[in-house]
Amino acid sequence: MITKQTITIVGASGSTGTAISSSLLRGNYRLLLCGSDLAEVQKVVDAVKRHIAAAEVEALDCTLDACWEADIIVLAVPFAEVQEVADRIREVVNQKVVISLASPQDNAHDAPATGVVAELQKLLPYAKAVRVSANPFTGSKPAEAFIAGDDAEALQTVSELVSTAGYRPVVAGAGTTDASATEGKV
Amino acid sequence: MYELFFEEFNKKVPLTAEEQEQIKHYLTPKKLRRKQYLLQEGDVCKFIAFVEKGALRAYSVDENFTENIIQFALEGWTISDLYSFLTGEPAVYNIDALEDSELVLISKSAHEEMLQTIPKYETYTRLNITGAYLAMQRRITTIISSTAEERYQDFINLYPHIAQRVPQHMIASYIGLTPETLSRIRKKLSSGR
Repeated sequence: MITKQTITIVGASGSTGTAISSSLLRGNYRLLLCGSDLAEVQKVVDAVKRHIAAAEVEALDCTLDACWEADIIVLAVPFAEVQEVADRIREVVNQKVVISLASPQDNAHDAPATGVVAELQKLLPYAKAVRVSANPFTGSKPAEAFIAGDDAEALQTVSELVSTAGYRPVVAGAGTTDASATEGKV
Repeated sequence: MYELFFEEFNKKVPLTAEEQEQIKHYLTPKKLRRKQYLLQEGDVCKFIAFVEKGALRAYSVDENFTENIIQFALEGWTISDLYSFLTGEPAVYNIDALEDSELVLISKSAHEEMLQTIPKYETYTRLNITGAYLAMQRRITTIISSTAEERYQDFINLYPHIAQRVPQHMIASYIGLTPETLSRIRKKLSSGR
């Protein structure tokens, strides 16, 4: 794609934010980073720009505005926080791809029984919910990233994004059964 | 976010509150900053864009790297590379923002689903395309049969609000003149008043 896509990462502070931002900037993307502490998010922007001077990356304190500008939204927050974020951004993410990186394995206490995608889709009924879980333990190089969702076009978009980030995309099927994505049953 | 879109829609085809809510679910709100691209030549155009706020232009770039503007879109207007949108072929136009803008995008899949399921959307689309066709006919007639001065006068009379918001060199491009020729015409017109 020639036209630069805008990706908003919600929960972009700390090492996770730096890692996601650095890997996505290998592609033709412009990044808007949001987090609860703007100073921390700005540190991520500064760190990324030290490595990639020409990177189009910016810290924004308004998640709603950042998601309004975005073509794709990445929720890099634990599942327990997804509902609160969804409530804030619902009106501006219609028809947009919204990716959750929440992992039921890592957050067993708050993991929904029906699967992250199904829950995210319920919270954002007119967005295209997708879940991505990276599995660095398969021994395969590059590491695999499992992708679950119901919208074929969104799965294609996210597969391209995951490839850009250096992972091998493995589409694990419909979102309602995305437990398989966690377990790597493909 | 969708106020102007539905105001314009209702002028063409009145909707019930329920129909409006149904259509709203298919729309993508999008903010674009000044000078950012909505579409670049070579990509497949995946959207029809309605301008809620701001200004955009569509243009091609020739072998001498000259930009040829084919359309402006201000509040209430629609802009796209329709050929690319409908056929899936790569776009020949670039579309970018002349001002910070708020758009309502209709994706190809949303467009097709609404055509199938919402008859009033089909009527709205037909009226939009008919209007665009008439405007294009008028534009071709002006370009092939009017003098440079008439073309400029025609533009100012038809689109006074665009003339106030867009730089002169872009107006020159839109009416097929060099900036120097337009400057001479403007000088002549102002001295003649």
